[in-house]
Amino acid sequence: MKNKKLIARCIALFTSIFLLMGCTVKAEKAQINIAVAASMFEAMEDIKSVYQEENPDIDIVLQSGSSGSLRRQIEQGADIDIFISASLIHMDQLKEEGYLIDNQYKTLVTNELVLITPQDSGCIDSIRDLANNTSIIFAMGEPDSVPAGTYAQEVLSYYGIDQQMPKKTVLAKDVKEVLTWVALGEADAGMVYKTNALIEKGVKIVETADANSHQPIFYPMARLKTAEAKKETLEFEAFMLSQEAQQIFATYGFSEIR
Amino acid sequence: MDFSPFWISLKTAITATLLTVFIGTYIAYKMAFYKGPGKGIIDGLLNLPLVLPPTVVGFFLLLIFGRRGILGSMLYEMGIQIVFTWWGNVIAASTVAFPLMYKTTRSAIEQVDRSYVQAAKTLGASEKRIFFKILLPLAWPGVAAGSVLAFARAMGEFGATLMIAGSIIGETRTMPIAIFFASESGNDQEALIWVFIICMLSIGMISLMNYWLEYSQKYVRE
Repeated sequence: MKNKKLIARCIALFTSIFLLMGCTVKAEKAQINIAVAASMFEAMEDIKSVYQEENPDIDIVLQSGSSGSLRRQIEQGADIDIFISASLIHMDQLKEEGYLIDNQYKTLVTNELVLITPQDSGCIDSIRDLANNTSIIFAMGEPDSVPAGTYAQEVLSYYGIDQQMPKKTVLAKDVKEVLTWVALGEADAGMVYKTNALIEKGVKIVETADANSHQPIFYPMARLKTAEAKKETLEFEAFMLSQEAQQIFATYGFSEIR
Repeated sequence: MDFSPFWISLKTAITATLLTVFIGTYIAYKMAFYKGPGKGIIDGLLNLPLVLPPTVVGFFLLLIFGRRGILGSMLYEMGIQIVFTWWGNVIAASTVAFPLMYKTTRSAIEQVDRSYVQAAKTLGASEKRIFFKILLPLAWPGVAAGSVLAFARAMGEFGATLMIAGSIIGETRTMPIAIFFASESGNDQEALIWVFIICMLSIGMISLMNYWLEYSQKYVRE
């Protein structure tokens, strides 16, 4: 009988200690929720580990998806502190709707658009080749929702081949899908960001689209109103624009804003 | 507005349901009586499409039916292409719908009293006859429920379809894909129209199937 009581007391004690431990950890570690465009996810993981090493009391949680769906999640009330988009369109929309702190965002880096083919295929050597070859399958993002697709559409019309393309084009829901299709050889060519193409081993870059052929690919970053009280986000934002972070971005193929 | 996704969805769901009903029932029947080794593993493999995320299923299908895939490369040489065609839709929808058909039908067949089967055997009935005259009628409610579930799943299939069939307007873009892209691009009105249509169609088809099944069960019981 006595034994039982003792055991019960011990359990109660340990449980309360355990619960209290939970409290302190939560109070100590500040969490920053970041929604990042899928095309920048790998670079951000790197940044995250570097930053957390320097600031062990900060916990960074990354969430990735197409800029369009992330914007949608933010509009639906997702708990996001910092949003990094792959296009100005979605950021501008959030700005108009009043989600951004001080109604402003900063431009983080730029990217380029490239034409890719499977590693071992040689039937397409340039963007203009796409028009000549009738039996190919060309993959790109859906222009209305995937920024990379919007830029690709602009490139195609700049090179004057957008009329010949629709019949041989398959539209993907994000850039990663384009990469998978091309790497597996299901699509003969695709148009993605340079940064994506550099990571995927199954594809090779055959041509970089002319910088004038599409609108500049900016990656805007903004703090959202939900993060108003978190001053940690301000420090993180400063870190993102620092030389150290920009160097990490550069290794992934992003270019600095001049 | 382009109404092709409606017809593509309907055509895909019906074809995929028919395929799964036949293949699913057959395999469920075989598995219910299977006594060999690795029964658990085979059952696990057959249920895999239900457990895996649809995109992963889509990726596996790409590896199998892709131009450089195991089966796909052979078909490609014969001039048949699966990826980015309507057949891709059918295969994706059938694959994800299959476990639902298989699982419900198998448990229905297993619940049939074995003494009927044994009695039929002593009277010299063939396997085929036992299946069609005893097992199938007695397991009919399970088969029916399985096919309704399979239809519903085939109709709503999205992830694997997008992976293997892509989104080609007028060819492989189904209603769920149309809804996804409309909503992603901020075209809420179009998305809502499609949501309304897919709800109506699903309710209509499933109640139609239920009426038919009730009718056919009455017939079986008599």
